[in-house]
Amino acid sequence: MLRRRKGTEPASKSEPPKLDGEDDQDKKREKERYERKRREREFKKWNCVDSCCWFIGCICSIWWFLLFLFNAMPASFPQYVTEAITGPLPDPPGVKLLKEGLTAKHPVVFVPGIVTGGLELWEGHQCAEGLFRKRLWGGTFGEVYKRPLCWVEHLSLDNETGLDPSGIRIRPVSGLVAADYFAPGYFVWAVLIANLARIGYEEKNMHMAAYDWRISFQNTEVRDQTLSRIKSNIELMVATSGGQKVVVIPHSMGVLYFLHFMKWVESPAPMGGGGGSDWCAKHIKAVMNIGGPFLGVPKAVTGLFSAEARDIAVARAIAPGVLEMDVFGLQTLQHVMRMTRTWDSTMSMIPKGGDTIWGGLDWSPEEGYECIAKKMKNNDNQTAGQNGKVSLEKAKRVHYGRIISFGKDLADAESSKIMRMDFRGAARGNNLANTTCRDVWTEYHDMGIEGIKAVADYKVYTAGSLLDLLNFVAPKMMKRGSAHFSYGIADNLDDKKYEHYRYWSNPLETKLPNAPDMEIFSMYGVGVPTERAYVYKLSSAAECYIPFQIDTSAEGGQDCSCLKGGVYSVDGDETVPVLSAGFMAAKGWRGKTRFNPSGIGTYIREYNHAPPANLLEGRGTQSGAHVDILGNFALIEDILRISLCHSIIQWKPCLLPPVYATDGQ
Amino acid sequence: MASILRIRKLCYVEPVKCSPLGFESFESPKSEKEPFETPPKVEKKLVDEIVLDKQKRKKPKRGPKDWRCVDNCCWIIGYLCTTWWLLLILFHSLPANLPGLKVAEPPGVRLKREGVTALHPVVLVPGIVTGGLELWEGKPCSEGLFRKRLWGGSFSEIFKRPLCWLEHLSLDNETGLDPLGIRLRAVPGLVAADYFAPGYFVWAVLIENLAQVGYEGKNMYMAAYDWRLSFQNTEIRDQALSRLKSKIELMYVTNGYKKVVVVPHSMGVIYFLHFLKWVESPPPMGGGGGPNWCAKHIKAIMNIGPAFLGVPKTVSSLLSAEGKDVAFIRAMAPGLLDSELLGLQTLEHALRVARTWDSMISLMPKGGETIWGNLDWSPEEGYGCVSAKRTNMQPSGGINTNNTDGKIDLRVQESLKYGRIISFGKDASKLPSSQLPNLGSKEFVHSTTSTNSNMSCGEVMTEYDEISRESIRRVANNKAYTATSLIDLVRFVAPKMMQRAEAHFSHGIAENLDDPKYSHFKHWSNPLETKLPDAPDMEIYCLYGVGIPTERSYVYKLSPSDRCRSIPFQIDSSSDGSEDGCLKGGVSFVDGDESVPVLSAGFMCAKGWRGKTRFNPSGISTYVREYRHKPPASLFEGRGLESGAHVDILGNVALIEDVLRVAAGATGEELGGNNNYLSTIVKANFPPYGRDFINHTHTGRFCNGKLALDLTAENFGFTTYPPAYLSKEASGSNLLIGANFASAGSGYYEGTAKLYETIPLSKQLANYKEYQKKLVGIAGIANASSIISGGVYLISAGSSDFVQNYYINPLLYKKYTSDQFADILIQSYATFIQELYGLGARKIGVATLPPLGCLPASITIFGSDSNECVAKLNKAAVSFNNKLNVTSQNLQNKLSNVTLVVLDIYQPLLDIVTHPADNGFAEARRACCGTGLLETSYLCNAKSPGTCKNASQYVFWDGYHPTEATNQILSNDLVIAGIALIS
Repeated sequence: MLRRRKGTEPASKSEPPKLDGEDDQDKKREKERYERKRREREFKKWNCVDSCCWFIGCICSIWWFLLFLFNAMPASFPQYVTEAITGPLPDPPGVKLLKEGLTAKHPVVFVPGIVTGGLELWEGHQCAEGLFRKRLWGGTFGEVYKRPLCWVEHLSLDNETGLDPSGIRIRPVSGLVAADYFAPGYFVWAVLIANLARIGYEEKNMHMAAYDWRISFQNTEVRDQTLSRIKSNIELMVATSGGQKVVVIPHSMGVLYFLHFMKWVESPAPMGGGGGSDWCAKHIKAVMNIGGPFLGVPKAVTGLFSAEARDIAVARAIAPGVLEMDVFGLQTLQHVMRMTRTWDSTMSMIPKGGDTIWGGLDWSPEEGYECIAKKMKNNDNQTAGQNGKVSLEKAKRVHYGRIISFGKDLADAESSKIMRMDFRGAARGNNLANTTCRDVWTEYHDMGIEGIKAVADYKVYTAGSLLDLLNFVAPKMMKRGSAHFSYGIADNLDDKKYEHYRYWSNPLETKLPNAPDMEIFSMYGVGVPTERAYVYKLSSAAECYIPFQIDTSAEGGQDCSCLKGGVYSVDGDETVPVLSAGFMAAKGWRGKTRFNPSGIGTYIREYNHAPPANLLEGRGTQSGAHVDILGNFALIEDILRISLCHSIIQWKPCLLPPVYATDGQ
Repeated sequence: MASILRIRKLCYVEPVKCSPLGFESFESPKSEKEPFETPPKVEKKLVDEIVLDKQKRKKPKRGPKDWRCVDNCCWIIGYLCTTWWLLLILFHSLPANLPGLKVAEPPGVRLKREGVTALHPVVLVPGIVTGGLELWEGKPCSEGLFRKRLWGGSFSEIFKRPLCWLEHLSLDNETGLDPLGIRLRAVPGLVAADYFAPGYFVWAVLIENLAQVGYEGKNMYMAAYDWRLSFQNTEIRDQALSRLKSKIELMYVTNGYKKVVVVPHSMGVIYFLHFLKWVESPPPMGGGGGPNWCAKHIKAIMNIGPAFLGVPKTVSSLLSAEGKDVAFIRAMAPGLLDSELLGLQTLEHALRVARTWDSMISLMPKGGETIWGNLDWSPEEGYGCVSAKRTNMQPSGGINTNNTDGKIDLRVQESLKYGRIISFGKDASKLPSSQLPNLGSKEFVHSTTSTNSNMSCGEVMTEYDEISRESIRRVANNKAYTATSLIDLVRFVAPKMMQRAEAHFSHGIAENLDDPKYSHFKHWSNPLETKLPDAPDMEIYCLYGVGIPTERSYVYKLSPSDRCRSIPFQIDSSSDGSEDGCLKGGVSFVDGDESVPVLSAGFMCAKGWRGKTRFNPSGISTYVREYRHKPPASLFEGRGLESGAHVDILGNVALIEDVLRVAAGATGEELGGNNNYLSTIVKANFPPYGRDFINHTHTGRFCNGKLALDLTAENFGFTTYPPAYLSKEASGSNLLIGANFASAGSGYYEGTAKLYETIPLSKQLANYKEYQKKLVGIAGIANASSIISGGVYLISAGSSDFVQNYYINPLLYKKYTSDQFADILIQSYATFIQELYGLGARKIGVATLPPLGCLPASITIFGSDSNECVAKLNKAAVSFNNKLNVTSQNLQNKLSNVTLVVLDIYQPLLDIVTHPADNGFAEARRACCGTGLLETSYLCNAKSPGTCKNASQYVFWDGYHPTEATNQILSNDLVIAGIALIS
């Protein structure tokens, strides 16, 4: 700087003599001109880039300063602030129980659900260079933005086998880190883990049974030997903790996965784990299912049908705006669809039990009950006192049984008035995809106009016919999936065919293990509107598009607040309807039934959703939402008490609505 | 990049400061007004100025004037940030592989192309300090750190809350387990030790290469454990051993009943040794796996940088926390440690923490004086500085005895006494042992009053506070401590720690391993006190780096005791060795991998377990691989692809390739056995070499006594032996009787000398020329020429060329047949003789090759299990000898007036070997030294279990060299042939 300054001085010194020799007027003019020039020069130099720099510098400095302050702040400061505003916070359950003098006893196994577990890259194509052992799923999702196509390519599975495409190996992250946080700051299991740690749990008596949630349950064993690892880990933990049986805590799809495990482990090798018929009785104390979609979730269907489920594919949630647009010519939705359709596991959550469970054209178990959750917020006295007594006169009865209907009118119409054309025999039509679409390949491109029309002409689909629909629009995928999953309901469970693994994850087609001392808990949130049925329309689209989409214009209006944006909702935890989460424990397994021959005790607990009181609470300590419930203090306390097993807590009797008790089918 | 930035900054900053400045200096005051304001009239100049000034002061605007201080800073920061981001974006958008920058292909990719794929599951066992530790329960000061790493990762907590950090890393002083209210646990999974700190890889490179051939989570397991605890305590507290057992069993089953390959590193090596015993021992002490668990589940153990027999630097870190890098703490903030900055007494804190870690004790030198040397000798004597010297100076200290193949580097100057691991004062490190004060038991008696512990001295409590100054002085009084007495010293200065730790570790060497006391777990991690499991199919590898100076012993001094509660000892960093550079800053170095000396890393594989020994009753095969250290060639190589350093070796491509091949199913034999890599340096300067030589001084000859040519010279009537040319003795009149120019491990083929870093023939010839000049100076021209022409020149070379180079070097044996190679040697021989002739030599004796196939080493390496001489090698020797005869005859004819005699040692030696009894020998196959199959130098240690007592009954002394008794017979034969030379 000094050098430069010296350099400029002589240059400017050459000007004064000029000024000296002139009269005032000239001087003034000259000066003005000079001044103007200088100003111009300065404006030019300073206004644009430099102001920007200055601005950025300011922000950075302030940011750093704040960061420094933040770091220098004592760690307990936020708590002070919170407590100053809201009054003293309740103790976290871990602390509370520790004060009661309780300590770790039974080892704990977590089974995470779909999408919440991290996936990391072990082998990839050229485009994924430098990502070795980095998370492609979970974490920051930075790669989604950096190289979206590469990312989609790597996360997809092989279309034929449902396993790795050649040259790509994506594997689940192992250990507690697999699903403690889904993304930075977005906890999944972390709160529960922290509370368990307070009463003495650590890595040796806590195990995260991470698995690749994209592939079918049996394939996790075939490819990764995941089931064997879980078996071995449970055995190890039982052995090293002095014979204490484990408490298993599955969440979401993990519930089905663990059902599959319990059958697998007792079945003889090679299909099963060869643990013997008393393995579960010897090793498992309790299974505490959190938000379990035992009977499937309706939104799995729409996910497969048109990639439009609201949050089953979190990919959509991450960038909702982008999906609909054709930005960058990426055809985002199709890509997502193609990717999710290779994930066999999503097919494990197609509604099970058919019309028997989910209702037919004219009835559904939730009828007349469903909107309470919403109404409680809006104007709850409207239906108060009517609980359970459904007035059939009410015209606005919702036909939840019709999981997919084409057009709002059809959703409401009486069944006798619906003219249906059977699509099953219909020709799928000629391939109408031209080559430009080929890079994004969904099975819709194998279908012709006729096929699409036939689908729409059938008009209304119930849980039973849904399967036929999916078989029609995505035969390859369903062929793959039906080798691994089944959606029926069994009459005679002693039938030999039920020994096949495809039935193991369907609670309606398997018996629980022979373990009378075991306990099964169903714990789920209620009070959040949950997707249950959809109004569809044909999309007005060009040839490369997915031909169906949810008719977002269909609104229930005043009469039926349950219909919003083409989606009918019922009570549930935002993802899983109460029916799916509670039915097995409340009814299917209650007492000695054919599904539960040894009479394993079942318990239900519902957690009513209460949104966080203020911003500082984060995602709430009383939430009932599907994932947030893992931070629910009441649920955590229940889990801790069971794990400690110093006293069986008093479980509230079943809170399911009476209508469940009335279904005779 | 930085310079460009600065220049640009200058250019842009300029106008800010300059323009107002410039104006002030020569413009009328008016011009100072802000450009944003309208220029005031001249008449109101003064008023305006005042107003303006006020305005400026009140509400600073963005005028050129106000752009001075804060704004400039902001501007600069903004500018830097923007540029930085721009560069970052550019950097990210660069293609991963710049065309100009060729990154070497990782071994995994290459092997995959060769068809190597994952077969055996792999278990990685990390060593000390490299594994991460995370917090599960802590004191209030550690709030917010739940499940965060306190060890490994960024270490940011050290700076934020150092005392809290230390408190949490310490263990309980009494139990060696968790202190109350603190639970720190090992990070599980591969992330535990893939990177120690961001960017500083430990296992990451190996993991990546394994992944490239198909490994993943299901067949690769990181056996992370809490490395602070004693090994048995990891089972008691965390069930770490049980988990490891269960994981291995699981991987064995789920991978199609393929046995596992275990890859332990550093301290993990002895941890796994402990596991091997634990798993087969009955409960409750052991894992109850039954006596064939290892045989059933383990294919190979590939020990990397193994610290089998301990590491000397552990001692220094326990005594005074001064280990160079065992405690990374020091490395991180070296300046801080010695200053009493913030009143923290960093060193004392580090010492206190390190002393609560039981695992440190597992690394104390084991085997006592038998292994590590006593006051007077050590296995490395005279040897240690070779590597250091290579970088510093020419091999000037060495001398070369003229003679057979047994070539040597005889070090005459005082050698360092490595056996004295700790000596107080430089004198104590050098004095002959007789002048050292005896160690009596009374030194270790505590004087009762702990006078100097007053309560005012801070909070740091090391056990030194309980020892009076007086007894410290007595301990230190000009004494030296060997590996054995060292334990007493540590016991004295830290009685509590040793009491705790000695329940878990033992440092002796067992005579009778069947003694029931050895079934206690404290012996399990000491390879000298346990038997290997009964698993004959298992393989054990020792893979370690060489070529880096490694701490071996220390010179200590009492520290000025002005500070209270300070550590009373410290390394005397002022004591430097003489010219050889072995002693530097109070630390003497030997060859090793920077942390572990070769002795500790290689001894068990090369000797203790070689063959069926008492430590290895089932005869598990062992393989040794040494990786010579090469610093990274360029900056892009990072920490080097051919590094031999303790941790960096995990990125060594040769090592990675070996691990991958074994994991993919190769056996040690398929890798080339020991042949390709047994470069355990061919030097022999320590007992028992030379133990029967006159005066019992070790001479550097590869024999227990005189070599054949020594005896020949004796037979010819010489009474003294020619001094080695490069020695101090080789001066003055001593030179008149001749000199020895030979060097061990060199031969006719230049490459052989290069391979073993010895002196090639050409250099020997140059030395000889120099000798002639000296001779002329001493004896005058006339005498000198008569000495030169009348002198007898004996040459013996060639067997190194074959056994130690050609047959084990694929570059040679793939290129030439043995016949062609012999031709090359003969060519070199002929040239050499003519040059020697040109220098005036007239009487030359040349020894033939011995029956190469009958050397014990040859039988071991090439004999494919049979105990007979290897015909192939003998044939090659015969063919070479024939050529030697023919060529010599030709030379004799060609050069006038020369006597060129071929001294045949082939036939006599063959006779002895095939009919040992006829010549009074009892053993012709095994060598006297140890198992005698492969050992040379290092491995022949006077007190090594197995070295024979009656060397005269053995034909061979070690794997390559005959005993003196054999040489005596040979020389008798040589005399007859050599008469021509002295006549």
